[in-house]
Amino acid sequence: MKIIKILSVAKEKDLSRFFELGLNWTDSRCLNFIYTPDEKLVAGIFTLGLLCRDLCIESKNDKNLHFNKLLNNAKDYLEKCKSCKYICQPDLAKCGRFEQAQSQYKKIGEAKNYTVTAIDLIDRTITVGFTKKPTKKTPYENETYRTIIEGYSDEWHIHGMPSLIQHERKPALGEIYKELTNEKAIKANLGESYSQISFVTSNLQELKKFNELEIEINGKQELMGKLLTLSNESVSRLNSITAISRRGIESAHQPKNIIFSDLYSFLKSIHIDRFRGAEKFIFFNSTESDTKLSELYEYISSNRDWLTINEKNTQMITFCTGLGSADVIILNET
Amino acid sequence: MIPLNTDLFKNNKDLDIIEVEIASNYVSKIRSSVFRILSILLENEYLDIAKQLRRNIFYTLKASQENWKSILVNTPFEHPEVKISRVYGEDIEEAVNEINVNIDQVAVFGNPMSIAIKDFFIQNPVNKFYVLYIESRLKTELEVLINSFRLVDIDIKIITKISEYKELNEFHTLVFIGSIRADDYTSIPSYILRNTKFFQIVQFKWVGQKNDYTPFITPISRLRLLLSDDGVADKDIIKRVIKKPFVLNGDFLLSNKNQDNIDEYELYNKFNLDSSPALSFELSAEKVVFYSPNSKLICILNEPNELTVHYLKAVQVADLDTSNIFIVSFDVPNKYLNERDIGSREYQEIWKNVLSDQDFSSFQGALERSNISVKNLKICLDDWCTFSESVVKAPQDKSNFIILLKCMNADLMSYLDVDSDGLNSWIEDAWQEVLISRGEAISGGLQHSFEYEESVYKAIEKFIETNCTTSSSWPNEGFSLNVDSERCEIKLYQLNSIEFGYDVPKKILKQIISVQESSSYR
Repeated sequence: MKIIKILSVAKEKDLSRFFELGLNWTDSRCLNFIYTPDEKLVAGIFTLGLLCRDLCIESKNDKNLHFNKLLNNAKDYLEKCKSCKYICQPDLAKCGRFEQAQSQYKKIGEAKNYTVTAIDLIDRTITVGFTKKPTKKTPYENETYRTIIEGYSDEWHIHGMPSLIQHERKPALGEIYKELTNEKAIKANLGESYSQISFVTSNLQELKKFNELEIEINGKQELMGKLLTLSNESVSRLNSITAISRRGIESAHQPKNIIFSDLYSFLKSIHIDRFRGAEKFIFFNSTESDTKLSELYEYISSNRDWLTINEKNTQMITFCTGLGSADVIILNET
Repeated sequence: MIPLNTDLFKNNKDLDIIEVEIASNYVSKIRSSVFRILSILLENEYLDIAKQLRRNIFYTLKASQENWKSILVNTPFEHPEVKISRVYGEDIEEAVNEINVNIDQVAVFGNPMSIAIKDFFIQNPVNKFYVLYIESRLKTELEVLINSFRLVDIDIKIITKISEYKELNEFHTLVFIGSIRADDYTSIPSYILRNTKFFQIVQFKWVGQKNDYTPFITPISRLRLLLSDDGVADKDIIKRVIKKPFVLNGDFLLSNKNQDNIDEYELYNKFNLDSSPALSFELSAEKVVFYSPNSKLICILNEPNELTVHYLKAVQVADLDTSNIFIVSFDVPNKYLNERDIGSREYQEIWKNVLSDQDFSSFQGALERSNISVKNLKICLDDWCTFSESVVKAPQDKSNFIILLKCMNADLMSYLDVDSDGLNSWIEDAWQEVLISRGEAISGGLQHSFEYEESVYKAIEKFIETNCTTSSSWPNEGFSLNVDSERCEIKLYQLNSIEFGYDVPKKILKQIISVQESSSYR
């Protein structure tokens, strides 16, 4: 039995139960409401559990999606953003995007920025280029082009976004993840990005807090932010979104699991189609305001025909977490 | 698996609630008179006055002062020189007089609320430390009141915000004035009830006002309740509710028992001011139409030997025998609904089109260089590009409007094919259009549709006189008429029954809708 402790808070807290819950979770497309009256870090611990669960499963990486992501971004940049007269005001431009498509691509191991110049949707290739400065040998500017082909795109990534694979192929933090997952974490996964888990919060302070939290497992200590890949790691296993700006929430891609750390984030993203098929975890506590709660009640009662209580899972979670039955409710969406 | 218990009210199992119910003859009379005025006002669509009166009564019932003149403040009824009966009817005048008489009684005998509070703290204090939650606007007068008790031994802390509550440690008794409710009319935020730091509540409220204990329920249990069909009885929630009736009669006895049972919070919450009470007219072919009780409608009585057409109030129709009534329905032409509104809109069409063709990034700069004084220019520009049916969306100030149009003068001049003088006068005209649209949006075309209804009524009367002397020659489905030199299609619906007790949004009134749709307004 492993014990996970949260250090750096006044009292050392053992929240292993919530970690185990995430680690052993079976997806079922439910709405999971978990009310934790005094505990504000539970959402993060649970998320770490889910993240570790997916580390243990092969194919839980973004390899299949990666080239499409590059291609779609390049397409949108060339067709929409490159010649857009609105300075990224999607409401005015009515372009369907919520943020600017990036023009710059990078390759692991190279410092150069490549600019997207063309795409070929039939052959599925992206042409990127850069301008060479005049030298003594070639006293004029010249363009150099390279082509990104599907299947050979792993090392390419969009500037400012996490790359698919880690630079040195040497997974950081491997040891502590191994402890967390009982040695089951797959090495390859540790070095690859993954975007199927989203963590949505409206509280930036909370995110910052996660970065600074130190957790301890079997004598090993690590910062929570690093384990959740929140602090600029080269690969990202968790897609963290702030619900405050519309752009933040709308730019999320289609995740399989979404963790909302408060009601505000949940209510903000109800209407987002890409979140529809996902399993949602809504963590909230006694600090929620009356207005947010009544919004939640209104949402639930106006959708009551599509929601049923999943008593079996509710019981299971109350049992696993030691929470009271007045703190957990699992709803099936139909 | 552990058995599931529905642990509804985790924190509140042993909470005492001491309800001090205050009954007073003269306050009851004020309350019932206000209720009477409000119902009449709403029926006659005096919405602003009704809203103000509702605000006033909620405020006054929580106040501890002796001067209750604030009930009529900011309403036409506070001025003695207004001829109330002539403008608002005799019923309202009577009720206002009643209120005024009883306000004087409050001044003479004291405000029962403050007497009850005083009595409680001086005669039966339950412990030594109280936290009193009150709306911030009432704080000062309550402080004055409590200081006047000169309480020794008892410490009362007044809080007005949740943040102040959060800073408190556990304490024994919470005091507040008014009802516990699950909606916005609650006297105490449900946050405080969900996160109890106290063991006892002392609540001062007027007789008849009811408590709703659902705010005590934990959020998850609330979700469970919303999704299951069985409600919770109040007694399950709070272990002990102790009622302490407090009766104060002034110099005359409580007479009418029924008047005491008003629950303002419940009643006035139902007075959704955007909707109005309505009568439902169930028609043939599963159709329904709503009329507010005092609005007029045209109906045709099909009696064995003659046909008659009437222009009656909805409540009057309800008194008739429904078996042979036809309800007349017709569309009011647009020009009667908002006649002046339509007219000229050509200016906005031109400048808005030119505006949306601008390159916004550079145009915004040009506007800023011309010293346009508008905050959030980006958002405003977006707004000005859109067309609205009622108001021409444009800068609020004329100077800004001129800057906006001058910044695209080249485009406008080429579009309109005029010189700069011509443009200036064109801008003046465009501004006039904006002004006119703003005026019109306020005063709608209500009057015109009444006029039109009258003329339809007269036309039908004429039609029946000439064409249908007997009921056999009566076109059951409908017919068309010439009204104001335009064709008007008249549809007829047989009336099946009339029902009271609906609450309908204003825009649904007078529209023929299906039975299914109507059931939601009950």
